Amino acid sequence: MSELLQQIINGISLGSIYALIALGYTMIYGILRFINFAHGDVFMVGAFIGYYLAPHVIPLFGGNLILAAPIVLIVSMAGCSLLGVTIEKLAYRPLRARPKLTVLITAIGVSLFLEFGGQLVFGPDPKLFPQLIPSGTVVNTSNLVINSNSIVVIVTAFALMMLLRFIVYNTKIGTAMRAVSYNHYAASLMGINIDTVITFTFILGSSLAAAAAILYATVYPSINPLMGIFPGLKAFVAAVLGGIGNLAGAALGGLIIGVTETFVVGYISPTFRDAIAFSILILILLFKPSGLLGRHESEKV
Amino acid sequence: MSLLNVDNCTKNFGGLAAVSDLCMEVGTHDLLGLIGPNGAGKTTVFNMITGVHHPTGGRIVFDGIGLVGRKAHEIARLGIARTFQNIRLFPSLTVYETVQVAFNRNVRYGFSHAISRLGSFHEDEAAVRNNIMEILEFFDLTEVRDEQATSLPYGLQRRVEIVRALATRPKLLLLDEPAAGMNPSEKVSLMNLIKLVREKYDIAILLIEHDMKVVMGICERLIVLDYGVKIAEGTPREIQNHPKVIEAYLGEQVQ
Amino acid sequence: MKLDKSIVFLISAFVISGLATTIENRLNPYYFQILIYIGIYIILASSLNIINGYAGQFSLGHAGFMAIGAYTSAVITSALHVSRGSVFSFPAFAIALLFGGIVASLFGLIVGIPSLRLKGDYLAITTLGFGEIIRVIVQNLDFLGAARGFTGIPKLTNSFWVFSTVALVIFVIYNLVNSTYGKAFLAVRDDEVAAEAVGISSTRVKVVAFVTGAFFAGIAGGLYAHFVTYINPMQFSFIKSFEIVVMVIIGGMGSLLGVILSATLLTILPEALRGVAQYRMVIYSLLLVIIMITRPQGLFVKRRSIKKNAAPQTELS
Repeated sequence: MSELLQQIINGISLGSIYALIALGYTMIYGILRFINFAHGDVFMVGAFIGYYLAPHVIPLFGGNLILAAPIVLIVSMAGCSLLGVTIEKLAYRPLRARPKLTVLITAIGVSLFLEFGGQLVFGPDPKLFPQLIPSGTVVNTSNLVINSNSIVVIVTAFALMMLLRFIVYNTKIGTAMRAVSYNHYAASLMGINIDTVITFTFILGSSLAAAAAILYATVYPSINPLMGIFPGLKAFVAAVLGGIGNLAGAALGGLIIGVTETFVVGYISPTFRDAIAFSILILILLFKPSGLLGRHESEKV
Repeated sequence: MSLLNVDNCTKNFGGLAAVSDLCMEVGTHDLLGLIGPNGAGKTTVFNMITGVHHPTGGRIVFDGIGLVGRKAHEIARLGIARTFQNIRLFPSLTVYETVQVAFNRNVRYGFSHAISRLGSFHEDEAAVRNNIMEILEFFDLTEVRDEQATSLPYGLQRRVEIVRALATRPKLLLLDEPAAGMNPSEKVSLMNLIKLVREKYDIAILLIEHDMKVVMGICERLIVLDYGVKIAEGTPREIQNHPKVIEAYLGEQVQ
Repeated sequence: MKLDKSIVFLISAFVISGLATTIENRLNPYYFQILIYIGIYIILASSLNIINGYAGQFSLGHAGFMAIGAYTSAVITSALHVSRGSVFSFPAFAIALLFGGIVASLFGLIVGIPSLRLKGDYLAITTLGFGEIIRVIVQNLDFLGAARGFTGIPKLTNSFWVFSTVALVIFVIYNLVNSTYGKAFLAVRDDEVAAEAVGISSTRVKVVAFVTGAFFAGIAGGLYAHFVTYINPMQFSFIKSFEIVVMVIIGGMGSLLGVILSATLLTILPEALRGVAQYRMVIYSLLLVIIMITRPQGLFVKRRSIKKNAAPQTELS
């Protein structure tokens, strides 16, 4: 029983990380109707920003992680926002009127550029991410051991998701985002500056990816320039699973994928870890492409 | 016997009833106009007939054959051709190739002979070439046959779209707002074009149109939709004076 | 029986490439290798062009078909104990390649049919997924060598096989596109709804495209396997699929000549950049992004890019 609970908590922890990344995919798809393949690599860059930053920040606070960690997190998020916005301006914006395939290929190109460029700049070998969460077990009964990592991940992810929810549903720019996601043209007629909304969406999405990266790196401290590939892919599947374009769906999808993955690895076999996401993807696309919570978009004839 | 029989057709999109209980008959040689205010459901009717949407209820019978549930290309092959509200040509094809696509169904050979060029290939291709040249000639498109169809002036594009539809040798031609976006002289050309089509092909034509001059000028009979419901049917003269029609368009009782 | 000039072309190509094999050992082995790779990539890129460029379907899993062809043909030549010098090797290799193509095309059917309901991005992802699933399956099959790979494949590939197949692919594509039957493909690519409205079954077109494209990819895989003599699943990953996609995009989707040129160029380029190998993928991807922004119709296509409308406006349901 305790092992089951343990797995569930691990699953939720992993799932919330996927959820954060998935939210980025889903927001960008909702606004621009395209899959930002490079999102997983923005995630990777977030981890590396944290990696290089932490050793400088931690001593500033005299080794106090509780103060240092949020700073690392915030700076990472800012750095990735900048990266995301830059990518959007340079690579995606010029292609807005073009056929979808063009942007798709470009996104893949950006993704590969970040991956292989990362290998050049950071070096291909894995690095050890510094500890940002004071280690310790939070609960330690004879039945259950929960360590601080899982709790911090879940709480932080949840807090960020609530913040996102607030922004999207309770602020002017959030409302603008939602309007744009329904109909660009009408939104612009209402006086909404589409470019601003898009930029802001990329800021939000990339920040969440960076946060996800920092959290991920605390749980799995080995980072490398290709680390964004699989989490990115799984988060994408999560977004599709939940209904691409739907925020709650992305969060839900992330949790489902995280829990499923943890259970399959724990109870069946680790070799299927990555195949799970693909299988779920194929199944969803075949049977319910609009996802669990998504809306069905049909072409107007 | 009517060619097309729409029998109590309804189309619901979620909670919205786009078309309700529509009954409509089109005879083999009719030139029928489908009119009504914007959003009345006219294009939806076309979409149901051509298989783009499945009716939520009701039947559609064409030439004795039930249409509901059939795929769009099957219905096209049964003899129903259409044009679209926003002209849908093939951006990368020339006028010649565009019409050639419509003659796709005339070739007897299949994949293997398309590649090996054996069998009836050369014969079929020659026949298709003749057909294309003939129809382009008739509709005065020979000069532009090697132009990219989407680079032509709007009026010509619409003509190409209609010719493409006719190349499938339909029994029923559906024209969805063919005069949309045209200037007055283009509209006159269009009306002449439709009359020409009638003379040469003697097929049934069902026309959605907003321009009353065009509608009154060529249609023999009109059906009026408002909010998805048929509110009137009759000759153009009868419809012009029909109180419900006037109310639908103007939104109020005319004293 | 009157012989169409395309068949004359094909037969001449067979003869010439057959003659070429007699002199190929005089060639510098390094250049010969590049030549063979050029041929193989022309086949791969052109076969993908049938799916992507002519039928308009996003397929990002082409390496999967290549893998199937590679492994199938390797298993057959291994079962038949074919070795390089034997007289028997000619028909045996022909059979192995053919089967490789057929099994690959069967998978093309399997992938193609469900994918039919999907559009654009979704189709791309699904095909990517299938490509990876095929790779993962092979990786877990012990009799195929799993992750260790399949060794000892006889080196049967020579200029005859490669360039005959190149000629065959060109023959198929050219004849297809220049026939009324083939125009249906282009119509479906341009506007599926309009194509259906003139009686074309877009489903049939797409399936035929997938099956044909997969067939030739499978043969290319067989040619590849019997040249490098050792294959493992990692050679057929998404990166490989992506390289082939790049060739089609840069050559110009739907451009027969353009894709041939780009496949040639992009096969030679990595060799030329061998000195800066670690920069290769970085340069590649950057180049790709730049080309997509400045000249998306491809480097070798003359026609101005066709501007499609932005994605259809969705409405509040």
